[in-house]
Amino acid sequence: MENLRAAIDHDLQDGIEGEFAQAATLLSPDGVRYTERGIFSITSKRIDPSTGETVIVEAPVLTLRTSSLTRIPAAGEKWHVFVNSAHYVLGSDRAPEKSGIGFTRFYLQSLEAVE
Amino acid sequence: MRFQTVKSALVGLLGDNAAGNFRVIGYRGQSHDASESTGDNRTVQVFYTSGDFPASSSNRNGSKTHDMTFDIILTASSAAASADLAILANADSTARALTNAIENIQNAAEIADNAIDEMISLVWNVIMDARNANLGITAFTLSSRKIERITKDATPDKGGLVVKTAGLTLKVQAAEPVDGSTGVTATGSVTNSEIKISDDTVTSTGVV
Repeated sequence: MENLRAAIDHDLQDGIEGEFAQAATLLSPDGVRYTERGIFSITSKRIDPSTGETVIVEAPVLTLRTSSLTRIPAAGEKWHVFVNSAHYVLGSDRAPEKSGIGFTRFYLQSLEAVE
Repeated sequence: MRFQTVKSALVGLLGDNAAGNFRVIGYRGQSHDASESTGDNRTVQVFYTSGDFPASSSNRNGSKTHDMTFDIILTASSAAASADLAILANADSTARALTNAIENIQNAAEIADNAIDEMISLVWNVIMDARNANLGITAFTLSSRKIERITKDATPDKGGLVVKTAGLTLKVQAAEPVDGSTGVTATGSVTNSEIKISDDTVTSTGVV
């Protein structure tokens, strides 16, 4: 019988890499590509500090299972992320948030071509 | 008063010299989306904020010296970071080219900060240009004009939508003539009344 940690990891695999998952290609600062599957959300709810209203803001977040990563992006490293036919950059804004139960949230920033 | 003339002259001057670099808009009380002020849609607003009338340099009768203070508010924003996507998206790019492209990614906050700095320079140069010493109003109307202070918000930005603002404090000195206007005389009210007299026709009477 598997231990509790392994059971959680299996559950996460079902949840994060299941039917709602999207393929994401992560490009490390040294030019190596890693293909992962995870949950991607492009908007999130925030409180506007000036009015107190809840607003929907564009803040892409990619959630991946930590144990599925070959290399975990360190804080301060810039990674290029390609998901859902769009380009994003990781690490220019907010450090990845690693949870105790085995998933990591990556806060991305939209990327446009240099004019 | 003359500050109204100066304000509209400032709006006109900045609008004429924007050259596609920014937009001069009127008063905007409502908050707006960051994507509305990206790129060349950077905005400039002009407000009259305060006026001083120094007692020592004003006549008892006649025109007064008016030290006007205008706030020129600049807004610029960035909706995304930028990078050489042709290299990053190309599967055949070498590791060296990819490393270089990743290293050169410019954050949204950095782009917005550069945009607002460029805008401060543009607006300052338009107002302080010797050819614009009169701000487009009849010569000798203004005694002086100078930008006294530049302020810029220094809040650390998070996220892909970054809005930056800056303010230029402009001091203008001019003689403020007292035009002696007493306002508009109100028209008298009109009351319509109906007087009903039994066994008679209805009569309407207008009283001014």
